[in-house]
Amino acid sequence: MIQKDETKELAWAARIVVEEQDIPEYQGKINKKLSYYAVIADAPTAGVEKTVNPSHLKTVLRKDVTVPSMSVEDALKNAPDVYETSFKIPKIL
Amino acid sequence: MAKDIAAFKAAGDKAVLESLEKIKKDDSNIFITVCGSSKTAGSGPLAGVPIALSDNISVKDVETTCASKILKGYIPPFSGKAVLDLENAGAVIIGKTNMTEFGILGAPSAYGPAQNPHDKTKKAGPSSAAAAVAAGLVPAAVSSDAGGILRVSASFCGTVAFKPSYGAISRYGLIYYAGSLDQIGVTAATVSDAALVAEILSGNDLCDTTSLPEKLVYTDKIKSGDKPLDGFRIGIPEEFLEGVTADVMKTFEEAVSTFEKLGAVCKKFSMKTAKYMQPVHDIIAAGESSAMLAKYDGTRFGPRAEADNWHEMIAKTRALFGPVVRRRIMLGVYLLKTAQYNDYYMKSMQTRTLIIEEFESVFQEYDLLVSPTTKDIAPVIGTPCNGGCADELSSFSAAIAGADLAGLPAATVPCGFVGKLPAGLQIIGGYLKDANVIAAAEAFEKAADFVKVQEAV
Repeated sequence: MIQKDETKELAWAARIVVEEQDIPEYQGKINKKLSYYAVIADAPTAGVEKTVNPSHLKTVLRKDVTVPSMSVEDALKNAPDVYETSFKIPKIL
Repeated sequence: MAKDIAAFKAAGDKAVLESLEKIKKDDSNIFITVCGSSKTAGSGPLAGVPIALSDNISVKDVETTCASKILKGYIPPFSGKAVLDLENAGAVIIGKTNMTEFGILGAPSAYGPAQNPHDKTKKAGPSSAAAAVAAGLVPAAVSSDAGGILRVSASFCGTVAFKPSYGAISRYGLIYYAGSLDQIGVTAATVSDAALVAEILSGNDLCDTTSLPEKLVYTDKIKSGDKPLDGFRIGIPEEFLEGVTADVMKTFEEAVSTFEKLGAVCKKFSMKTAKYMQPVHDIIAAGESSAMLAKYDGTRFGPRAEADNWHEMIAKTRALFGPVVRRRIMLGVYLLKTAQYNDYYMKSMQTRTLIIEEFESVFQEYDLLVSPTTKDIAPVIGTPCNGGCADELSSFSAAIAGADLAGLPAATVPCGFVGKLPAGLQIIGGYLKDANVIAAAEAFEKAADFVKVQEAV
């Protein structure tokens, strides 16, 4: 089960702002889910391969040729802030 | 009420204008954006037919929000493959329908709930694509269907819906939240219309690495006559009936009798992996959504919150997600952390294999599986549904989750009424056996004559 301090750390790791007074609600809902998931513990999965998606396709590759792609102008069209041909963001550190 | 493609085609050049006029007058909150113009009608099997899309399918130069504040103002610079296919078939994209935020079950739309055309006090379901058809605003609509958002909405609104085998329809341009579960499906007034549109959308696409190499054909097994399902073996997993209300169960039992009259042999049986289906769906959906929704951070598109540094900017911007989505992301990040990865996410991916293997075994014995599409009829707006919404689960039921996890083709067809509200029947086929699902749905639709039943209600 997840603790209160862990919930706060989790919120920051997910870059989600959770107000102090809302932490117990988030913690409670996550813990309720973890209890709900307990049923899968008895699934006989020893030696079973994982399924990443249900298609039966393996190693999908396209031909190694140049094809048209989105223009820089289009790629930047929705950006909140732009510097020349780049996305502009506030300082990282 | 609902009108088929032929009825819209009969209106000729006026079909799009009439559709736009009806949408303008409708006050059910079904559409988020209206964008169609009769000038854009092309030629082809859907020439001049207005088609709606859920608001998570990208249309070039048309605002696409996924019903989330975090994508307010986002204008895609490209159209999804489904949009291009529809336009190439002559259709007119008439607008973008309301939905739960990012298609996540139980996550309220930033634009408020849509009303059910059969009873405006009731929910239209998590994808208003079905309500757009049921209200007669369009003859067909295209929507994503993770967790059953399309199938369940169709059941609530009395329309047909079909999601094909995973990979049959390219998801290029679909803003999905759970890549291994999300698929594009079609809702329409009739099975043949849903099959027609799905067939137009089917085919390989190099822009989607999960796209199947061959185009699937959905209509090659439809038979006529008194016993069109002669020889079909239909299984009913007992676990798919758990929690179903007595009223909905009555419509389901009548549907089973109809299948038997059509020549099918129906038999109940038990699936031992059924108990894992919803929890596994929920874990995978949470894990995938935490990764796939990570890009909504105010860097490249959408609104951006003011902050002194990039990390704070991301966190403040992501406050634009609704609370259910925020919790889903946090849960997913937790499940993917190294300390519990093997116990939850890896375990779920392995259990998914067991589920798929059991379905493969089941489909050696049966051609199709059937279940009620929903446990209950459409709930009152403002109340949670009977099927996990209150617990913020990613799927409505094991019957819905199982088809998603195994990528199976599944349709819902109206099978009766409870009071004024419709109930739906889910038909699931083996992987790539889409044509069986359509054949059974079409035969059932003809035999049940839902239109006549609807008129009598």
